[in-house]
Amino acid sequence: MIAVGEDLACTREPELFFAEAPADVEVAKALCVECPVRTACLEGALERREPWGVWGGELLLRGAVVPRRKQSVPADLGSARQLAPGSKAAVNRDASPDRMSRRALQLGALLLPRLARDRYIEEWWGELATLQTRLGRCRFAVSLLFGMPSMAVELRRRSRRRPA
Amino acid sequence: MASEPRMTLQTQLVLRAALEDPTREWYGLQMCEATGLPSGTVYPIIARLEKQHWIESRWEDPEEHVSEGRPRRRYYTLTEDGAEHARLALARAYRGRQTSARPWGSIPHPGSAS
Repeated sequence: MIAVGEDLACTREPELFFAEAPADVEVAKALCVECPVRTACLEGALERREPWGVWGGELLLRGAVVPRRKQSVPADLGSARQLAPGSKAAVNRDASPDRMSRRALQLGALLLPRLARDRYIEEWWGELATLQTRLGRCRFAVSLLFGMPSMAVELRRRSRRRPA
Repeated sequence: MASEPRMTLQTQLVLRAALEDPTREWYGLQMCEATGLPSGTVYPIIARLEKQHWIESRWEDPEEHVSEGRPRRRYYTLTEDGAEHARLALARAYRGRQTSARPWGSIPHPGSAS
């Protein structure tokens, strides 16, 4: 778990850690080398199956470390976020709110029963990843947060038997 | 008597959209777009309908989403029973609206459970 509030390279320059250009990805990975929480960061990211970004010195895509020899395929990372290759600016600008939406949903989902939580987080993160605009993602997440209490009630309701 | 989710207008919209092609699979965001309802409204309805077994869900096959380079989706579809119940519930709600033209008209819905 990353210590919140610590002065880490990734909190100073979050865009770099979600950049598309291989050069930027390499810079981000280099900044991880000295990081005090590097190992824990990578472990946590793998456990959470982070959809993308540099975590603990490795580039992750859809929850797995991208082998170094394959990293010359930034288009893959781009399409994971439904962006045209070359729209680096868009990726950079959108990176941190995206993380915020995801974190917010993760926190909101704490209201849900434990057994259902992971499934819905994965489902919603997936939907977030396919939404094209920052506004769209933000709207999706905020609305879901407001719906979370009724979601929690529905999921805790006694399961009824299949209608005959 | 089969239990039934509350037939709010939003629930009716979701069911109507799902019934347009009862065998088609859809995902949450698609339902938001089809009904024009926000995610915070659609997902609790989906959760309720799934709990009642009117709809069922599955994760997308890896071949599909990996080739498209995005995370896997959760797909929903009406169950056979669910489609039947949904049609009946919509019909009842429709009749209810028509006959409740008088003010404060609280028409008992035949067969409504909650």
